[in-house]
Amino acid sequence: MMTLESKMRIRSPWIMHFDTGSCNGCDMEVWALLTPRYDIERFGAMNRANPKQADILLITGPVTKRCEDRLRNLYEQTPEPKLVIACGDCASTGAPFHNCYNVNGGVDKVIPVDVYVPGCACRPEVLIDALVLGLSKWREKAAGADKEAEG
Amino acid sequence: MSAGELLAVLLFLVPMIGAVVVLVGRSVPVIKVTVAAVTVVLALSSVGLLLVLASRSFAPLAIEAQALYPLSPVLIVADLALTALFIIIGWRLRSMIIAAAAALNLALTVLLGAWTGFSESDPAMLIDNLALIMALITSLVGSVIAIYSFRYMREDPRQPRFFAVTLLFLGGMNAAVFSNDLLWLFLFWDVTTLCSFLLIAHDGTMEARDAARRALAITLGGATAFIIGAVLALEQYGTLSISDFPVAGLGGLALLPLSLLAIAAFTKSAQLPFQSWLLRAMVAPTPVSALLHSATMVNLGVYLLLRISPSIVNAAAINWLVALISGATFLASNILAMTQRNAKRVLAWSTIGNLGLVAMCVGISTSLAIAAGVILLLYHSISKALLFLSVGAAKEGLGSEDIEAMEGMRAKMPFVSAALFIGIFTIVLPPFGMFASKWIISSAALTFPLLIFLLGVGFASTLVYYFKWVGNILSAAPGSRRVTLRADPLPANYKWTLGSLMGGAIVLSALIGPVIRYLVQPFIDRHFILPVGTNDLNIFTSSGEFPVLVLLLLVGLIFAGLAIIVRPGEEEMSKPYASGEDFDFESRGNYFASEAAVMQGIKVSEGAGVLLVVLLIALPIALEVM
Amino acid sequence: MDLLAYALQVLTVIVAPLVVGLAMGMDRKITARMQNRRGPPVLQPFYDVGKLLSKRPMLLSELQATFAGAALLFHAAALALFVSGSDLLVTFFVSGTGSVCLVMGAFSARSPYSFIGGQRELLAILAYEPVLFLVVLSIGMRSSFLVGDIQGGLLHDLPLVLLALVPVLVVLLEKSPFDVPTAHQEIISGPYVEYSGPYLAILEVARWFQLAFVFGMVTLFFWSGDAVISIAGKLALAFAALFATIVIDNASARLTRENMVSFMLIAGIGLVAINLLVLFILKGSI
Ligand code: SF4
Repeated sequence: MMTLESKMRIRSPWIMHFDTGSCNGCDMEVWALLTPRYDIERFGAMNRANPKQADILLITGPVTKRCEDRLRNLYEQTPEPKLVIACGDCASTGAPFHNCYNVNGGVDKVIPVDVYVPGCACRPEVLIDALVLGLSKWREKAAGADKEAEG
Repeated sequence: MSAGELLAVLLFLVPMIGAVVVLVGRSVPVIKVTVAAVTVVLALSSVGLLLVLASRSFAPLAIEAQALYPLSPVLIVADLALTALFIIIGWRLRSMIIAAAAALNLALTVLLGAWTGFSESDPAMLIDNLALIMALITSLVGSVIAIYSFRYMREDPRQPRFFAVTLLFLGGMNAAVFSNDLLWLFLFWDVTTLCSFLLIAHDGTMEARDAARRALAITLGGATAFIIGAVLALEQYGTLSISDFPVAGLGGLALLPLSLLAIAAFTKSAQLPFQSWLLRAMVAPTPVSALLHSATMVNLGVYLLLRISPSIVNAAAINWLVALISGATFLASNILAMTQRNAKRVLAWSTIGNLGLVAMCVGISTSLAIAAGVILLLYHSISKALLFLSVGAAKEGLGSEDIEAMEGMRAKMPFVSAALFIGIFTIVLPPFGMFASKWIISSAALTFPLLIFLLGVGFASTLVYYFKWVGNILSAAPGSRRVTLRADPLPANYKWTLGSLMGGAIVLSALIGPVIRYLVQPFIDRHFILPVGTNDLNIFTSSGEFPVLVLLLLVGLIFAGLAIIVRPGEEEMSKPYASGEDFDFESRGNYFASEAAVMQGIKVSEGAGVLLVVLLIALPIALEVM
Repeated sequence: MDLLAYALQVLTVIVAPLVVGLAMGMDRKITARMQNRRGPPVLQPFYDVGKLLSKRPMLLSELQATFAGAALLFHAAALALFVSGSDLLVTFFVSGTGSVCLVMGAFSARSPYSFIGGQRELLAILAYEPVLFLVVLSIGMRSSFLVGDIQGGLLHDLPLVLLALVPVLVVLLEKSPFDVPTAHQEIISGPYVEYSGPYLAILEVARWFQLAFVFGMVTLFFWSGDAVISIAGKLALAFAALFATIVIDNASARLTRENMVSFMLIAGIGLVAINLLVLFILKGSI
């Protein structure tokens, strides 16, 4: 059973995109989501550019050492409940920059990640899939929470 | 001597006697005791006078010159002596203008005296509701300012001089508003001029002296306009008694006395193009500014306009000019206030603008407008005194009057911040007193559509410059240590004086219904037919209605309720968003215009003012010639 | 009968902001269509508010919450005054207080974007308040300040005044070219930046109340003796105004602060002045 709350939540995922030192390839694909071709606003998503008003963080790049604190800061400023999507190979594993002295190698080294999107660069279609996957995870979480509340 | 007469005499004589005692006593304890005693007498007598007038259902109280017998010859001597004193001051300041104006004043005073055989027109003093309101403002607000000065001036080496002049100022002001005889009014008019000159020069610096000289030159010039106006009034109307001025059928040269008196009023109230003295007077200590802006001085100008409003209202040839001059002042001063970053200068421009609004009400010349003007004058005084005194207290804590220096002040000085907020809210926001009068003015201005354009822009500018300031005070860094209102280390003197003004401002706002009915309406009723009917909770005009008390309750509920309900826990507090960085930033307010642009703006508006004032004199003459 | 009228007024106060919310959804849909996108569902604004209410609250200063609540209550009070047919001027001033509360809320959170947003919001107030004030006064001049007494003739007599309301709506709806205070690419969302979760939802609803009042003023311009025609006409007029702002939004880029203030004041005041002047010449009196 789904509460009204979680229904609303799923219908209004506001996103924030943060670049932690990517080659900008993935960023362009993320921005493509907003264009008429992909138009994620039809799912109610809005780009807020502000962690305080975001539900979903779209993170690109391998998280350079300099970026680490900023990333953590932004994550902390995002109010619960929230989702983190690591967009692209860099953000997922840091592979393209493997062994570089200045990167952390993946978002999950710094903050918990809910969905990993593969690809160098990741494709917008896959990003939309990731969004849907994230939301369904959310639904599960909400259902789980409901069950807990009932039980 | 009846009770009313006695109280009236007390109201102006006691402060003057107090001034002498202070000058003779000189030591701080003597000063404190004297000033405290005088303020008590002032407060009690002014309220007593209110009760006396209320008991005669607000019929004006006339005091014949004979009733004051020993006083009237003294006053004549004082009049001549004072005018002569101005000549000496002008001579010592090496200012030909001041000396010449004073000499002219002396000659004309003697001429007038000779003409009337040195006998006053009866009644020499007339205490109606307008005078009563002014006396209440001067006595109550002035007393609070005097008490506040105990603390503010505590390290000043020239305290006797300061307090003596302050008391004289209050006495002179009370006497001026009671006077019905133009010559008496002229004497006390000059007393306030002298007092403002002395107080502005108080610090003794070059800048202060310059400012004082400028103030003296302008207000003395105004006094010359006043006395010429008085001579012409005697010639044209055959009387020096203001209450006997003709209220209808004025045309041609008969308008000239009114024009000249209006110009005298403009100089006192610092309207364009005479505004410069009030701005420079900001060099004086803060209580002086408070005194000039709220309890005395500038009020006298618009008081004179309101006093002769029955004549002006019917002088259709010139009243539109009065409205235009003051309307232009209102607009220009509010726009200029947006460009200032010194709190006192912002307040100075705002005073000029608000007095412009009062004068504009006289120019609009409907009974509704004049009622609005009186209400505005009353509420403005309290709020402005509160604001000035708060700025003074803030300066003591921060060492600066700059608005930028007040950044985040609410965390450090919550009491003063609260005082500033209440002062500003009562000036700007509904449903407090000032707002009610602005609302009435807006409906009244419909009879003069040109003015609504000035009003619209002026009101919006008011919001901008006040809330920029409020914003700076509010902008306290999150997580910074807060001083609670109760633990605020502000001196008790400031807490009491600011607190009483805050309470006064709010209570009077709630009582606006009775204030209009008992204080304002009797004055209006005597001269006009007033379409503002009021029951105590609501004000109605012909074109709308305004549920004051409901709104006030609403505001109280909103703020009190929210303050109680909203208690976010620690875990809700977060860091400010700065793109993921952690840092405090330097903020700068928006002041829109460069120094040069501001100077140019002042020049342009002064030019317009000069033009209109010249027109104000030329028009009656032109009408006469045609 | 009296009770019925009263109930109707209460109902209007509740329903009007919901209608505005729906209009905001339509706005987003229409905008998307103009940009060749599909756009969100029409009910999206309600989903957003619902979601925001369910999020964990987060604040910088307790005053933020106070002022958000105050903004909501003042705007709601303004709408209630408007619906109950009382003085339009008072309503206007009360609604203005609500806008000022938003500014104070922005300032009370010390944060760079919020600070700039507050400053810009003040400029926006400087730009649209005088025009709104003049619109209110011209309505009062033409018929009455009492909303309940305003009947017909406004559209016929004051067409340019209605036109002057359109740029005001552009500012209030935070649309190009006058979305200066909330410019999302430059300063994130200006005064709203430090608001999140339930408090943002409160401000959003406050905005709906405010817009309900301003759109209510637009609807005053149409009146007819027949209730059905009257309501249909009013809704059509309000929708036309909304559509005009959407077209302007999609056809223009953001202007600077100075441009906004000078354009609004010159155009707004000019339109009202011309209208009143023409009326004066034609009728001999205002
Ligand atoms: S995953 Fe590839 S395209 Fe994306 S940021 Fe890394 S290197 Fe660039």
